[in-house]
Amino acid sequence: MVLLQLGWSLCFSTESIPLSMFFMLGIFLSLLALNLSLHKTLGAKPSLVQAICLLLPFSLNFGWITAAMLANANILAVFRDPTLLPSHLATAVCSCVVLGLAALLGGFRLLDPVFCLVLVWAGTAIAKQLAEPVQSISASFPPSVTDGLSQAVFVLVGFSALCALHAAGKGFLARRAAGGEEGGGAKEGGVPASPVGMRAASQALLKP
Amino acid sequence: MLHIFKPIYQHCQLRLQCILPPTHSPPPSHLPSSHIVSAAYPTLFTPAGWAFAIWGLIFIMEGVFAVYQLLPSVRDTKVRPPPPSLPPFLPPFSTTFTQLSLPPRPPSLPPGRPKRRRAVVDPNGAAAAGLVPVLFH
Repeated sequence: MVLLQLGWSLCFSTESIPLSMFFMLGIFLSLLALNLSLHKTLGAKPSLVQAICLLLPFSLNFGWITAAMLANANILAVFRDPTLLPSHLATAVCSCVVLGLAALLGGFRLLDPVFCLVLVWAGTAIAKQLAEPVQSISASFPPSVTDGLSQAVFVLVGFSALCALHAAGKGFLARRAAGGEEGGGAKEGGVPASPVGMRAASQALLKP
Repeated sequence: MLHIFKPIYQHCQLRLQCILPPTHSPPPSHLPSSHIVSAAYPTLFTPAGWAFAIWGLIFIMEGVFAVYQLLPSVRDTKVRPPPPSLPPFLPPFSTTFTQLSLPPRPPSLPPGRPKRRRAVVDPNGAAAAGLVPVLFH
């Protein structure tokens, strides 16, 4: 990971953009593996300290690296042919789609609200930048394109916020269910915190 | 052998996490900084400048993590390898640096003895993966 980050920094500074994209993909995969491992290991019920000290730093980093990787892909498209404007537009649109899919992954698979909120942050910054584009962008693309893309990214921001809300709500419910189950389990001989246990607890609640 | 390297590795991690980010991020002085290169390739997918302030928060939180992993309660726990249920292409990325800090696998306990509780996470593997982000300064 450290080597990948050093490699990215050197390649990007020397304008070896394709190689920097390779290193960026490595960083992204490392953080993806790390976050998946952390979520699988800690489960649905990390303590507050674990959530702040273990999950939060890497969720923040992963979210921002996801956005940075997409930005790097766009830079790669410009690097390959600065005059091929349709290709730049297509890359930007595809990046927006990937950003939405990432929010979906964070909100429904990882159940990580922080990751989604970082995407909200990055998306807002991208939409703001598109609303007031730099000189070179406004010279290449008409305002209808940049404004339209900006509005689309704002919609994605809303979608990411909904994903964050879903992840936070789901995490809260799982934590509450596990807490209730542990309380009940202690009385009845300790049912483990698992979906089966949760189902048994809910069936017990439904019995007259 | 690993028990000798583990504390050294953890202390290096702390130092890298807290000292390197502010000093290390710019590339060597004769090379242009990342934001200059980024500005040379204007795209439709570039965040506004204020968004990069998030790096401050990331560095602070990773500093918190670096201190947390040095606490005796975390440092002295056994660590375990990443879960086997990761997608097949991911374990190489998560274990590259993890193996350095993994202690030898404990011998299996005889039946009847209570199982020893193992750590919930591999702090060193996580630390290695989180070291010194240097993007977009």
